[in-house]
Amino acid sequence: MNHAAQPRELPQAILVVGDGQLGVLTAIALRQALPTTTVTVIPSPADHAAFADRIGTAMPFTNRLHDRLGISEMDLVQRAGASHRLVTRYRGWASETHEGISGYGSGNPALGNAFTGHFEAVRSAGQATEARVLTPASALAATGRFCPPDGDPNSPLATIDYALRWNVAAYRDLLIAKAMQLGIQYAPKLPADVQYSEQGDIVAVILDDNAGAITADLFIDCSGPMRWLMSRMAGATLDSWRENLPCDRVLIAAPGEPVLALEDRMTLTPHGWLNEIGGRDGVQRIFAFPASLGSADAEAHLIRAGASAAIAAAIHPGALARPFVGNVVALGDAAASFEPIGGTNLDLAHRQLSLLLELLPGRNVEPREREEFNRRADLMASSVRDWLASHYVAPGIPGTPFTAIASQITCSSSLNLMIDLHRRHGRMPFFEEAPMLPSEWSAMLLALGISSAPSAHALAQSAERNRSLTQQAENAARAAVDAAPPYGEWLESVLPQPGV
Amino acid sequence: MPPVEMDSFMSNSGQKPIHVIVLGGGTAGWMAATGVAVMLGDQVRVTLVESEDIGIVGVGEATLPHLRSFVESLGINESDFMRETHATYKLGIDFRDFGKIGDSYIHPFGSFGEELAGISFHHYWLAAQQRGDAGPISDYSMGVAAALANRFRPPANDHTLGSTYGYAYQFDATLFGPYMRTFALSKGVERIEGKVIEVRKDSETGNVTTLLLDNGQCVNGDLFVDCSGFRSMLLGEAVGAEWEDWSHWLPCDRAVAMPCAAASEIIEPYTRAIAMPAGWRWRIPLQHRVGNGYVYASSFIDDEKAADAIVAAAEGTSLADPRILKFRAGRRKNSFVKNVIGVGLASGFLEPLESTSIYLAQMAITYLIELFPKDGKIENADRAEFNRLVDMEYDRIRDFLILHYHATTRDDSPFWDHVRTMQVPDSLAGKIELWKRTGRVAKYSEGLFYDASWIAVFLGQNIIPNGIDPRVSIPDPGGMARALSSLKHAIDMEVATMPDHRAYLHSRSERLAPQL
Repeated sequence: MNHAAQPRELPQAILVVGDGQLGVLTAIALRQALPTTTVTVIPSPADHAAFADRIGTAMPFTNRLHDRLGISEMDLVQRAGASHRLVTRYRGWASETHEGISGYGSGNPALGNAFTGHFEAVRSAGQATEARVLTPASALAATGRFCPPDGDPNSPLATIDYALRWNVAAYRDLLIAKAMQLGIQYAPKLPADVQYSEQGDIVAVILDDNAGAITADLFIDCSGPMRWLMSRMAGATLDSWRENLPCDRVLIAAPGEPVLALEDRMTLTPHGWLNEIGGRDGVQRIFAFPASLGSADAEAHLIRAGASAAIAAAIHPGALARPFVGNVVALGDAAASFEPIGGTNLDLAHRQLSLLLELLPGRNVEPREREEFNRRADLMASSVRDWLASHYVAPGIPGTPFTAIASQITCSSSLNLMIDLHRRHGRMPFFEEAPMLPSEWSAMLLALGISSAPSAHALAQSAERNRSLTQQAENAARAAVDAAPPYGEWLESVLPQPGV
Repeated sequence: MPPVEMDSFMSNSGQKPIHVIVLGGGTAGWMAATGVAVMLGDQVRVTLVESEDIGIVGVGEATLPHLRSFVESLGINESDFMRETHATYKLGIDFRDFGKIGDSYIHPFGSFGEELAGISFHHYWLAAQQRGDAGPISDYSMGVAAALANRFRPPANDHTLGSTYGYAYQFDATLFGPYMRTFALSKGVERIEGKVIEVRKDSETGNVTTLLLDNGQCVNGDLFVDCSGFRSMLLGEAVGAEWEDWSHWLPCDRAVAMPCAAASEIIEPYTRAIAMPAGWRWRIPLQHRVGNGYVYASSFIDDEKAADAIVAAAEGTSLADPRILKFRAGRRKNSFVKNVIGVGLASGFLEPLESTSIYLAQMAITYLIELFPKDGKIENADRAEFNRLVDMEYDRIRDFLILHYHATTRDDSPFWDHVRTMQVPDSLAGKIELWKRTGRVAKYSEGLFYDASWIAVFLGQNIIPNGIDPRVSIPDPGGMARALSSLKHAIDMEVATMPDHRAYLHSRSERLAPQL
């Protein structure tokens, strides 16, 4: 062998700026990957638009990350108020009375990816009269029955994917306990300034109150859209998404009454959208709207939905062109800041974290590796932008102030391609690093009322075959309902008995 | 002049089937006709025009695992298909003398070892190798171990070691075309014999409307699939799709093929690619014979010398005189123009170093079916999407092929001097640099060759990264060494339970084609 294939030098110290649920989880992940590295967390100034820290839900990807980090779902259920979201119900996106439902995963593999196309073909052929969405997840959500799949591949629940929502404070406490067990350092002092190397990398963060400085090889910015570290890096530039996304104000209501539901709601109103995230420790209500519409109507919608006091946050939609600059990596809202639709902010943050673990730098950052991180992170962020923007491709409610604004957004060429192929062929193009599976995206578009025509291939299938596929889907949904207990019963069976 | 149906495609109401004309009865043509007819059923009427006077290239004998799903989705029985095409199983390709003379490595269908704590196996292996604790990387691949032992059994469908490899076919391409033809005719594809003497186009739209044949027949159609081979009669000539030349990166432009009788009873479950002074030669074991051919650059060796070289190199009695094929590396900038779709060589060509030719035809057919026009109308967006997908497939395969030539220390001939020192595409240069610095493979989920393939070629051709993942220094080296040796042991045990390749072939068909 000509060259020595030597393991690169391990980072000696990593500093995470931001001590919310994202910062703490990031520290856990890094410390587990690098048990000999000193990992320190410091807080960052409060930022209401740090949605990855403030909203207690993500997407199914987070469950996998939790598994990998040894954070058990049962712990989250028992100690962090976690509950399961199987589907999202979209209301009012195609008309005032419109409703649509979409869930997660690739669906029933036996039915194939083209199933949406087949189903639409059945429907357009007049063989099914109602727009039923034939998935086990929607059947379970409608009947209120569910328990997490037990790992048996033959279970009718095995193919169901889901997201969790939780109590943010309790979840963070649980993570902090784990971080302490792992020997992660915490300095409860805000950052005040940074020291640079000659190359312009950060060598240390100086703490407030003359509490000294923390040196590190690698710095992680989990401070939210204020980008406490990144804003101090010369090479960090922001790509604006202002043209692509209509909402730049958000009201986050104080947690409301407990809601035990397997679905969350995304409702389009004349002034913006309302996301209601169910939860055992109180429903989380979020209202997003364009600042130009003023906040009075937004507040009124929240109050009508049952919410009380709300915190307002301004968003500057956009993403860092390169979220890894020098020796600083931005995660979550620090990397990409956007309206918080259904756990997307934390989902993206966790995907970026996972990418960082895959391409974990050594003590010295290799420029090529950083480039590869940025290439892939950019693809992820662009897909998220398209995912969010696809909500506004929906017809909306004609004549409302919000529709007037939302209809003006610019769709990226990738989104236009996707919508066009969806509409005409029922086909979702694959995009590298897209956080959503093509099947999930397609299901969401249908739920938003963006219909699709069957492909020529689907049209060529015999009516008999289409009937049989519909039958299989119905059977799968029925089997799932039969196999699952009422969700409340399951929860009771796993929660500690009161007084014990 | 016979009446021509004006722009028939646009006038299609969507009620009557779209008439698809496939031009050319080679491997790509019959695959396309079959795929479209079976997958699109009553949406289409398929007619294939071919001439018995025009030969087919028909040397593409080695395939990739993707062909299995194509064959299966058409409803073809694998045993029947293998028997009729005298096919054998293929576990990978044995590359010899590429990195330097004397080297040999197998690029298997499958992976090396297992990921541990989110880090690819090869990082641990590289560290262990440095310490002298590991055998060659090939020790840790089921596909390689089975190939070297000349054993075969289809992979298991679970998460055990027995599921960590894939397989493809090696078949007689002169039998595969006719097999697909018989199947296509049984599925309602109409065959018209004749040579195209004129291609008529609509003067307004520029769409192809009619093929005029030498026997006076006029063949009208809505959509034309050009499988006319290198001539690219419709895509290149009629609608003028521009050619993008890649011969400066892939200088081989000829092959001389020569089938031979098998020199031994052993049927290897893999293809060989052996580097030659001005290119490389293939050796593909079939049931009844062995396919051989020398792919060479005519600017570095003349035809006669190349023919002499393959005659000298091939083992076994030759069954035919060496036959020369000419080609050039590159592709049409667009493969879907107007109402013409190029499939196979009419669309582009990449030398068969990684057996990609039939895959490229299959891929184009699959995308055509997914984007097939409806309501009698071709949308520009569908052409654009088809072209985007096809380009991406070609570009990524191109880079991977160039790597095989460029990653070498050979300086024993002008050809190897050229490919060793040439400037490679930026996309490839970036991938090589990332690997050299960090041992990481740029990740793409679309396209043909994934991490494991790049790792096989990088390591097989002695491109050893300077730095690898920092985390591999964390686990105890003794434990790693034990894990490696137990993995090798488990693979050896598993392979020992597999039947001999020939014996397995025998058990799957009532008869093997007799060896010639």
